[in-house]
Amino acid sequence: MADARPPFDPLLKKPAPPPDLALRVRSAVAKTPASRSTATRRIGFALVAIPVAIWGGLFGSQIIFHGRPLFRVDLWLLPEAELAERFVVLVLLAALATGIALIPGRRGLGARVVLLLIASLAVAPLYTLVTMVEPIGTPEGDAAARALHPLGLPCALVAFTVGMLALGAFGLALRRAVPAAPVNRAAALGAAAGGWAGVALFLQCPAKNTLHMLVGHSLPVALFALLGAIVLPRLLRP
Amino acid sequence: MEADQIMRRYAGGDDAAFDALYAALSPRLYSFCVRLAGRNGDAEDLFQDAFLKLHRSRATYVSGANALHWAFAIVRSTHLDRLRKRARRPETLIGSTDDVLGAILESAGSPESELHAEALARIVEQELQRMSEKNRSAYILLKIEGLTAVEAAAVLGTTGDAVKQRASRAYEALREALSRAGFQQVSRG
Repeated sequence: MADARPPFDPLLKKPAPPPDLALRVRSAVAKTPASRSTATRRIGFALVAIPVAIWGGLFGSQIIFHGRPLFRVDLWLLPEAELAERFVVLVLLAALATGIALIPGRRGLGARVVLLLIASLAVAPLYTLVTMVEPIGTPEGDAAARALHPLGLPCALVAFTVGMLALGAFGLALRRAVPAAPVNRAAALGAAAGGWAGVALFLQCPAKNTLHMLVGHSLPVALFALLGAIVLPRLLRP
Repeated sequence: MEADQIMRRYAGGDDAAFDALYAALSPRLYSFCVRLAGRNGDAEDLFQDAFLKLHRSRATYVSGANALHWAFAIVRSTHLDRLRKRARRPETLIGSTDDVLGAILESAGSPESELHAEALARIVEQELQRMSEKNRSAYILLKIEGLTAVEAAAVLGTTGDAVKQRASRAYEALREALSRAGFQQVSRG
């Protein structure tokens, strides 16, 4: 009995939208305001917000923790080549993560998921590697570091401030603009924000102590990817 | 290609482009909604919600991107939102295929082939509704809408390999369901 049936593919039949649906959609669309800010403009604002976030975090820490210098005390005493090398690597790391997370790509749906995952997971370990393996410093910096909190809690607060400002700017840049993989995109945005927080800490804190570096610097940087993945997806979805 | 140009105009704030955009996108978007959400009123609600979201975030459309794929991603995102909301307020919407299977077995060999085809289509639809959302959406995009694995991966926010695996699982499930109904193979897959 079954053999007598002709082969049939019901999936070839495409259901058509009912005519009244067009009227309903048109009416709903007419009542709904649409954003006029283009993706390029929003991303531009987010990029401008990065130095503002770093400056805000460093300046804010001066106000909250009286006497905390804006920049690390040994900034102008460090060997220029080493300082520039570390700084450029950290900035490139954060910029790369930001690019992967923010840029919509030619399909308009963001970077590939694998790239987003790499960006989300790689920033914190690479930051730790760059800042903790053979850390740069001077006797003046070491002396100043001895007065710092052993766990680097003020540094964690600076990282939180810078990271949150950057994350907020990134979130607004991609608000309602991520229909695909919003959690991955949000985690990558968080990692990028953490990367910029790390840059701020590098500019301000001369500490080399392992516990201080891990708890006060690397941990906040790492947590931002998680924070982004938890907080941002709802904002990013259309 | 034409849909991309219309979408670019609409994204730039040209409200007059709405009708042309609707005409260009709605047939395939609606079909996608029906496959995702089933043939009941859910598909229409999903379509309307998704079109509203497309309108609301039109300025974020990137010029040069495939408008249909971008719209597919919005539909799928909207569908997932609705599933999340439904998970908080659970209700049974998907019936058993047994009734439909019974009907098709009864009608087997009858000359009323249109009814027969309709029943078969219902089996496929119900089987699509029974499988996981990930498998279903991968199957629809890859096998019905004709996207490549890379394109479907971008829409679904996953990798090409994952899309192929999911679509393959969905295909197997459909083949089993049709086989149970007495059909030996599906003509495409």
